[in-house]
Amino acid sequence: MYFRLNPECYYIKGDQQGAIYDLIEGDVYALSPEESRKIDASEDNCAVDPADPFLRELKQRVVGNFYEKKVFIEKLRLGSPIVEYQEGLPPVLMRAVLEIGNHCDRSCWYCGSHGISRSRGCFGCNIWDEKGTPVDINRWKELIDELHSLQCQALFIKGGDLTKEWEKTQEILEYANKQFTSVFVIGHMNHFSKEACDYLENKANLILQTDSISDIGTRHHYLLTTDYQKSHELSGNLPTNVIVDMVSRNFDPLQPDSPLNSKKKILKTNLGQFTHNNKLHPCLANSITITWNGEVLPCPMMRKQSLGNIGDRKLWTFFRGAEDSIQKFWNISLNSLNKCSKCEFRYTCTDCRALEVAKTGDLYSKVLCNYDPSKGTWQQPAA
Amino acid sequence: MEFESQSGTTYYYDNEIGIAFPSHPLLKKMIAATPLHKEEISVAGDDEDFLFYSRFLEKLNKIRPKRNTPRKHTITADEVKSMVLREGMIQMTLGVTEDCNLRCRYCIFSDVYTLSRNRSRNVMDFPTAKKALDYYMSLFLEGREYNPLRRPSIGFYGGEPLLNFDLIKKCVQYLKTAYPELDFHFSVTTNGTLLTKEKEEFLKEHGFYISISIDGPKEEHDRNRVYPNGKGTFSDVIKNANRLIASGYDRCNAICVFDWKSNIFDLEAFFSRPDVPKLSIISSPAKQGGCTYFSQFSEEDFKAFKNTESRAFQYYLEHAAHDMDSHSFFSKFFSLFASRSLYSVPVLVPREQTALPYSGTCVPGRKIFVDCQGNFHPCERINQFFPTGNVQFGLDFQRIAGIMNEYLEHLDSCNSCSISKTCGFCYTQFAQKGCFDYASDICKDVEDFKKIDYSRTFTIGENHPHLLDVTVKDYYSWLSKISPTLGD
Repeated sequence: MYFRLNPECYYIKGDQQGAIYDLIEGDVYALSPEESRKIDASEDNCAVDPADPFLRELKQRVVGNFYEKKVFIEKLRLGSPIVEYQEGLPPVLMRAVLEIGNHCDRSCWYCGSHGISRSRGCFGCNIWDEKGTPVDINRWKELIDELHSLQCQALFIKGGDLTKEWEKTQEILEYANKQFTSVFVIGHMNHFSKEACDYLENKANLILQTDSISDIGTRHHYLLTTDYQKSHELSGNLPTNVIVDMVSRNFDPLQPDSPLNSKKKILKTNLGQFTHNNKLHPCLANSITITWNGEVLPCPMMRKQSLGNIGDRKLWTFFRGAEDSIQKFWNISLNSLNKCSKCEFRYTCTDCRALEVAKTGDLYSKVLCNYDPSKGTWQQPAA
Repeated sequence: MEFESQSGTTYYYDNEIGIAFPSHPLLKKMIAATPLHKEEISVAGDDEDFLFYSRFLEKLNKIRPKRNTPRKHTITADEVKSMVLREGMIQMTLGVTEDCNLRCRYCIFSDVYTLSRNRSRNVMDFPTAKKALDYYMSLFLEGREYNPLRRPSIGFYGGEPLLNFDLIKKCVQYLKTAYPELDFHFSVTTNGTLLTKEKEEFLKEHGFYISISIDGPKEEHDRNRVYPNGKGTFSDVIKNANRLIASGYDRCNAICVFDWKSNIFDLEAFFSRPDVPKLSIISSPAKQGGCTYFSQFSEEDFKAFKNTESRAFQYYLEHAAHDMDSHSFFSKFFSLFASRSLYSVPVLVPREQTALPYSGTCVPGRKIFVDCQGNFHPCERINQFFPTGNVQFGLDFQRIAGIMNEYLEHLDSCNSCSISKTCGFCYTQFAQKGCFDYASDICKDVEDFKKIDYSRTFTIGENHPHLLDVTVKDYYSWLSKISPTLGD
């Protein structure tokens, strides 16, 4: 008798053991070394014991099945793998962050100007202590045209208090609306009056920044910023329109069960994410940021990773070249990070390069993770 | 569609999702939505099987794309231009001459193809070539805003392109002078007889991707590839190919054509030699409209070929995993040929609502083939009755839209086809004299051929579970290095 995993179930090997990803149900099964050896062998079409309780359980979970003869299982995938070898395909640009301003009178404790590291600061409003000439409104409009030519899917418009230059914000938003159906505006919830909210509601999806759970409403998306040590107080019943943004002033000491470094980093899997993470960075890929002074960044929080300034360059030029193109960041798949490449959860894990760089200064480091793939163990929280 | 591997295992191909999986009597009934009785369940399997297959099917249904009716949509010139700017222009190929110093017996420009032009003394002149290149570059530069990752790529084709080598040199020198900041791909497809040391040095200096037509060892090659006096060309070709390989130049490859008289064991041995260029493409003479080449073969010839093919397949199964590299003739012939059905299928990607919902065809303008007179065509393979523009006025997007719309109208049976997602057909299979045949006429035997492909592929996979993945990965990553647009 033989046992094979279903088309939708992939066995991913780690250094010591493996995991099975069910790409339809989203479950990831962490296997013991012995279970891993069994799946290793059965996936090589070696005969198995049909009474094996582990394999029978996998059948009950509709993860794999027994066969009387050797079979070939064509794996479920998205698209065609041959496409990845074709040269010259256009880049896939899912989102562009346009930081159209850098003014704010508030002094939020978590603002980027304080040098704070935030896990989802990319979705929040920040101002920065930076020099430079602001990009003028006509260049912003040109950039919107250029993003449209590149078939960018969504625009995220942010940059301090957008009401400080309200007319400029409105003009850019009107212009964006002519070409994009998916536009998001990000700001602190106290920035926007009721009139401003009413206006924006018809033009964009609003993401409102707050650090108080009592501010959360139902009409918009909310970015709830909290100190990571208090984050456990939030877990559980948060509404689906809330994104939690954890702040760490110096990272230490991170508790072993922090969402930044524990098992909580591992998400449910799916076919799209699995395919994406095989080749690309889980977060940076397919994204680009243009700052208030024209710097092109891979992420709004990676301020030191500028690829150049759009002042004298067309946006498409940032997609060319091996070392100085945005793809350099997109292509940091977890496979390419030394520690992650040995981990069986590498295609379903999250990763924040901005936090890693802030902590170590190294674009390719991996310190925010408590799993040791060479031992197959998680660091446990203190009792 | 159902098919059987050599071991007798039945597989079911699900055309909506785009993959095949082992079938089972219970699964078959569930897919057909036939009511199941308790007795049938106990005969066909047990309760565990029933639960497994019903839940497996439920899982698949969660991701099954909604069955969409293809959109009734007339493609416009603006849509074509937008598609070309973003995904087109991957190569301009100049047909620098219609002349050839060989008289290959299956040549698409010979009398055995009644719908394509014949060999002639026409050659392209530099003003025509320059206009074509200038047009391509203007479109390329305009398109960078839509697709910054494309590199300009120029191919040289014939007849035998090396007969007009001076033009090739002039084109390369012109482009490098006019666009010094750009990094061009250059490629040439040659019969290899005129590849002198001097020409070789020029091609190498400019990084040309060189495809040489070699049909195997002397007796195989010389059967079809001959000079006008009937003399075989093998000794001249192999001398030049050997020299190129010995120089360490790795951007060269062999293109091999076989027919029902080919001894594929001899081809396997020949293409495993280190002094012979690695194989990029294997094909039989194109069976497109107006082809009479195959009428020379008897039923016995065909049966004999099929017998050899079966023996070769067994040989491949026994040796594939141990002592055969993924560049061998058999690897290409069995793993790659057959697995194209598997790996080129866009799994879970519904195409019904796209501009080209059926077949594997391109938007003309993805490639631009320029003939000696300066007329544009969709590629070098289609006959001359579907021009897409010329050097004077550039691509005629309106006309291209017309070609695409007419083509789609002739795909009359695709909506009910059980293997439509696996289809790799394009305009060339349907092209007649300026019009298209109907799919219901052309595709009659397609499912039978596809079953053979799938059966072979799944038999390889049963015997060597990881071989197909490795072979496909090796081949396409190599191909992308030695000739980036060859596999397109």
